[in-house]
Amino acid sequence: MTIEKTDIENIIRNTRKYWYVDGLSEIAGGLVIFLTGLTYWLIYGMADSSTKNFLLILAPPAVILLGASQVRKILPQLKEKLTYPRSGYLTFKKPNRTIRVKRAVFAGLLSAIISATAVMVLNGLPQRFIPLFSSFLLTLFSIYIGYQVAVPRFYLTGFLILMLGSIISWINPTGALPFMLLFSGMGIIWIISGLITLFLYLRNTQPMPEQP
Amino acid sequence: MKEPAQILEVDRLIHEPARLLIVTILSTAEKADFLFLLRETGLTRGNLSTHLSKLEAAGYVEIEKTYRGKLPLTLCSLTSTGQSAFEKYRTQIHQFLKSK
Repeated sequence: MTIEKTDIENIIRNTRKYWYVDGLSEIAGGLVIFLTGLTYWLIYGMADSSTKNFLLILAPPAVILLGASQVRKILPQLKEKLTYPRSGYLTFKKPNRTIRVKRAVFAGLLSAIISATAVMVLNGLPQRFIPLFSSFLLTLFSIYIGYQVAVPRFYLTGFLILMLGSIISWINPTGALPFMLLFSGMGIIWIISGLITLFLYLRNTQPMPEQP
Repeated sequence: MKEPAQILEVDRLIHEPARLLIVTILSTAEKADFLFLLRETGLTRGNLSTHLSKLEAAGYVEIEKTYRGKLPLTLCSLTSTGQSAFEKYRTQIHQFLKSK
């Protein structure tokens, strides 16, 4: 092994992908996104329009927050049973306060820019292309995750989400149906991707005794 | 560092490829267990143990023997001395490669 072959940056990126090695995070994330889509569908079916509008604003973020908090509780327990005996145990360093603040400010600015751009683009777009544009943003997000954690399958899921958005725009359903289909479909794509990863992971790895 | 001969001053404890791999992994992680390092480095148990012992003796790595349920667990983490030594090593190598 030479210095050239010991590519430090690649080793660091490879270590980061540990969290995605078993597909459990995608299954959990996919379930939350799927439930968000389902929430849109349930609310859309309601008769009272004022309650419907109120719930359309509040319910999806509430489902995401509640789902994320449950995922944070359940995921470590599942990983302890399935992943740690196979791949070992790893905890990541928590960034210090300054870095956390910088990241939060950067994320806030980025979200504001994306939201403003999205509003401007959506205002100029015909209704039928909104799912396509939304799927494009979600694809960019998927590609970003894939690059950050060195997990190429996120590029494929990004491509599939873009295909889904294109199909929804082509079919051109009305009301809240496009968002329901987009979120539910994206959730299902993540769940399937996670299940395939989990299946391959369990097939290719065996629990090992830990001690040296 | 401008003189190429100064490459001789790099920390040889970290410069050894297997230990460099271990230290690089631990620089990203807060804690990693023996099994994770075994999987990631591809070293044998004996080799990994030897390298970890050397890094521990130098004060670069802290090794904590504990239990997860009834199973024994060996947790490794990079000390602040180890982190500084690794950062210094990276800078030295980077400077050397730049000066070539």
